[in-house]
Amino acid sequence: MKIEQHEDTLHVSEVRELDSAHAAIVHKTVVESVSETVRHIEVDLSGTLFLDSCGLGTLVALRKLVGLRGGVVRLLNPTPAALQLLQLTRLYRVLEVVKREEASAGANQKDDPHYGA
Amino acid sequence: MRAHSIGGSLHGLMAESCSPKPAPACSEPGESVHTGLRQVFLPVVAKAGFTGPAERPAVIRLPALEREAGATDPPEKSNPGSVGSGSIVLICPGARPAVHALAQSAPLALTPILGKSLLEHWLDHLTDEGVRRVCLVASDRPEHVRTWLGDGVRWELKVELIAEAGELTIEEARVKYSANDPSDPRAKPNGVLVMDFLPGAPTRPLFRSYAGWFMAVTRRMPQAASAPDRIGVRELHSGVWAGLHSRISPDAELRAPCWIGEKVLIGPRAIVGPDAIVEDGTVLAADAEVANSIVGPGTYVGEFTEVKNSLASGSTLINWQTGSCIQVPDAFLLSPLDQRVITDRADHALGVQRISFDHHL
Repeated sequence: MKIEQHEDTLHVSEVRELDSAHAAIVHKTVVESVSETVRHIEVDLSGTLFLDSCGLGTLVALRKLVGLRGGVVRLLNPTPAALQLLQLTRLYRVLEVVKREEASAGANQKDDPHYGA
Repeated sequence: MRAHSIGGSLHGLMAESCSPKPAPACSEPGESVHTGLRQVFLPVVAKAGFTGPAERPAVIRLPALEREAGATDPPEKSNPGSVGSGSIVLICPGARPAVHALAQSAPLALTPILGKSLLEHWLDHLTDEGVRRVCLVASDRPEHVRTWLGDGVRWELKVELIAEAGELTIEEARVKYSANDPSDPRAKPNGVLVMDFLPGAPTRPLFRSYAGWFMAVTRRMPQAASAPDRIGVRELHSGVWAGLHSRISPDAELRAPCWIGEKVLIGPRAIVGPDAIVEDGTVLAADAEVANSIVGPGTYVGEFTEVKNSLASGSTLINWQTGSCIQVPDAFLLSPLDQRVITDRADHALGVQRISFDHHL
């Protein structure tokens, strides 16, 4: 897992698995990296091969953490499988999902869950 | 904490005393309707032929196919699905890579479509067409097909199953199952068909993509509901059909067009439709939503779960728009009911106050 801070955003990437076996350590590591200047968290899910409810719980916990600061959690380029789980749980409504083209354009618009339509 | 199988709870629920009520006034298709009628309890009329695995040899060779006097040429080229009377060679689809996930648990011929398998749709259709003998050629798990088929007497057809190592083309089947001697009654069956579409809908191929499957199946709803062999399907509102022994919370919302199969349980505030099919024996927990999707038989859809643009069956979830397929790792979201235990907590989620587990249909 790789964590970098750019201005007020903490960028988390290279998370291959976000499941019950890894969610706790990911949460702990990210929380420890959140400084006072961090307002938003971006999690790059383009390489995430496995995601389950524990992983989703971690993302919601991070959302709660930065939400107190007026920030958001953005999920960058989630894989189709991750998108399916986000839609199944309706978490796309509380976590910003940014698709590849939007991410490359620097857009921060909330993702349309009906992707591919 | 009690733990019971969901099957037991469903049986208990369905055994509760309830009486049919008149259907409310019709509404326009696509209109969101809050239903007042939520219980359908009609006598079960069982059909023969589902008594368990049939004792048959591993490979059954095709008997002589009778060619009736005046039989016409194979009609599948001009009008697929219309086969005339006499005999027919019916080829079960083998591997279809574009929709491989549909065949995970059973061959495509047995894939459920609106309460029937694809094969059942075809056999019903062939019976109506006056066909008397069917040579069924199966290459994908023929033993499953044989078990399902039994003796085939329920269709009043003579159905013979032939197991092949690989799927035959129409021409191969025509050659292989036609005798060299023109006087042999096998020389020319009335037609050879591949079950790549639903009867009467050759322009809607089932297995070219998940989207094609979804379109073909959802467009079938009105026709399936009006089929003469359907028992107990009621149109609650215009474009909203529900099968026998289904229990739907009064707080649920049904949006046409949608199909609710038999023995379905739909919890409070759940939303079904538009363009949704909930197959037999499925449970939608409270606040679940199913739209532009098909939920396979015996599937549990958990509280607040949203199934959209998807084909869900057991724990398998396919987005028919993108083709993405996952196994949902958390049973409380989506899971097969035969692997699930129901608890008091789940009972609450379903809006069920008391369930008798002692009554079975």
